[in-house]
Amino acid sequence: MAYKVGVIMAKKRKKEKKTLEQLCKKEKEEYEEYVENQITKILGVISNIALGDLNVQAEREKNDVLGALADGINIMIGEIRKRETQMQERINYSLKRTKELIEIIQKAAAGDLTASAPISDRKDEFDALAAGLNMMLEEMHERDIELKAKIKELDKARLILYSLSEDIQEEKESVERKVRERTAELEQERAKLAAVTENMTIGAILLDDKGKAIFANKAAKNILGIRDDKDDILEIFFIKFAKADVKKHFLECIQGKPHKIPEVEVAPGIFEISFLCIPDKKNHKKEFFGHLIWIKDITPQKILERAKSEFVSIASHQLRTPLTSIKLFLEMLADEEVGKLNSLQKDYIENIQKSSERMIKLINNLLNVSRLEAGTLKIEPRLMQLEDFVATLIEEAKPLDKTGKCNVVFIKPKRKLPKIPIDPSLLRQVIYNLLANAIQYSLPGRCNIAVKIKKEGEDYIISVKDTGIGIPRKAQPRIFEKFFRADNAVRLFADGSGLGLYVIKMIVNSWGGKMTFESEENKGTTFYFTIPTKGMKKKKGEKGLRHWWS
Amino acid sequence: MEETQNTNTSSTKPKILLAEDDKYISRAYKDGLERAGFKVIIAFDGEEAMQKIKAEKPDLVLLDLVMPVKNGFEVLEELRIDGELSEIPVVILSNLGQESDIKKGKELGAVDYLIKANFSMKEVIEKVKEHLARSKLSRK
Repeated sequence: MAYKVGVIMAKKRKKEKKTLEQLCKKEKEEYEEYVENQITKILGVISNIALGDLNVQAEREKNDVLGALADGINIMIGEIRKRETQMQERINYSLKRTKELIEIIQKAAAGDLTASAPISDRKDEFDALAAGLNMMLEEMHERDIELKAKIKELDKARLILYSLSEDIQEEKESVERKVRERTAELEQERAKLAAVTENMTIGAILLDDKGKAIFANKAAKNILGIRDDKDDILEIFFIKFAKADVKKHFLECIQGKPHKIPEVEVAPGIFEISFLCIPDKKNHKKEFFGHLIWIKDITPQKILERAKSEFVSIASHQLRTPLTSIKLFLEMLADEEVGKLNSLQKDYIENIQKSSERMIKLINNLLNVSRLEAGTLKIEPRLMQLEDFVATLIEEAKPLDKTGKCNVVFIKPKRKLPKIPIDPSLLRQVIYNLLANAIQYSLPGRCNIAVKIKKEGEDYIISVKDTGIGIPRKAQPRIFEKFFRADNAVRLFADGSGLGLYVIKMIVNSWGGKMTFESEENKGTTFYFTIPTKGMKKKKGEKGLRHWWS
Repeated sequence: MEETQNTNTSSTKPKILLAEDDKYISRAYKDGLERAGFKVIIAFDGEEAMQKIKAEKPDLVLLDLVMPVKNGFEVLEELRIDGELSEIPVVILSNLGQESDIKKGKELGAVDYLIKANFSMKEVIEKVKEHLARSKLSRK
């Protein structure tokens, strides 16, 4: 442009130079006036332009330099206008694109990350910016989605946790409730147990499976004299009952052997001590859950027993003493060792002897009864052949039949019986007594006695059958009663004690047998008693039976 | 009277020491035994019995259990520990009949235990003869 103007200007200048040279001075003055005017107009235009008004135009008066200037200025104005328009367009475009981007950013800021800035084909910086923005927004959107998803998950998890924690809370409350109930139950049980254990008169010491004392009830503490719970219960127990070697018993109990000390006297009391082992039921090995020591104060019973025993002992001794001398002197008198007797004297002496004998027998019977009633009859069985033994007993009893009036038969079982444990002294007593009765209560000429052994089920039944006076119906229910004698028996033999059947029934019962009878007055009686086929079981009593005669 | 230590000859009567505190029973046995041909030395309590056993060295002792001063069990114990005296057979003649007494008596060395009230004089004399014979045999 400038070049064009320059070219024109250059051409014009050449012409102008010629013009000026050809003109006169007047023309020069007119020309100066014209030039001034023209320049003033042009300046006016320029100042308008300078002030920003592009809607002006320079006048072209002549086709001279000034005219060229005017043209030049007009072209410049045109150019400026063009440029202004372009500039304006460019600004508008930038604004538009920027607005677009701002909009998108605003949307994004408001939360809409799906908005995307438009991209044109121009591939200019705005497009680059838009692309960049879109990429960023895409990423942000993705992240947003991810985050939202994670938040959702977390929310879910939170909800689950919340509901779980609610459940746990409920469970906790329910468990707490149950614990409270259970505790109350246990407390009740404990109270019941305590009521029992603390009021028990038997002392109980509970030991764990290692043998350490974990509990002693009130009675035990009293017996052992324990006041302080810190005391070593076991030590005190060992010391107090040292004379019975309780430590040894205790150690054996720990090994699994239960023990019992029936009687140990530690002044001022007498005690029975039991060592028990409590097996562990859940554990199928033979281990023990714990151990129990019972200490039973048996002082009153023992004192009574001892008093009774002493009484019996004294009575027997004291009563027997005078009776002995009576017996001995009567014997010597009756044997005429100190002088001959007339028949009446002999008669009287015999009567006294009989009474004396009766008293002696009575005392013996009372002693036996007393022992049996104390309940501690010993049973000491030995393996024996039953029939053989019964046969010897029958032989032994023969002297009872002084006049030989009786016929005794023994009916053995068909097959020989196996040896079984039998306490001979007890069986002897029973058979002897039954035979004595059979002989005593049979009339001469009618004395047939049959002893029979039979097996029935789990028992051997021994029967003693006679053809004697029998037991009247009225007397039958009372026949085993202590001191009872049927009238017909008393009439026949006044001297019976009434203790015989009572005693042997007790003996039979003590070995686990049963005793029964069948009888008819004036016909005869059969007594039956049983021995288990397994035989008699050993019983650790304190007393054996002393021989006595009915 | 000679002091004899052994009475094996038939011309000398066997010597029995009778320890019994009841005077009636003592008299009865003494008379009965003497009539049966024995020499009887009596004692009324355990201490007297010990003294007389040591002094007389009887062939057999009939020993009651319940006696004053010293009882029969104590006498048995003392006899047992004495070498010479422990040879003398002792028959307990007592009215105590408890198992425990009989057991104790036998454990302390008595050769027999008779309940007085249950034995006649003749039976007692038989027992004495029996145990004298046995003891003679065992000494041989």
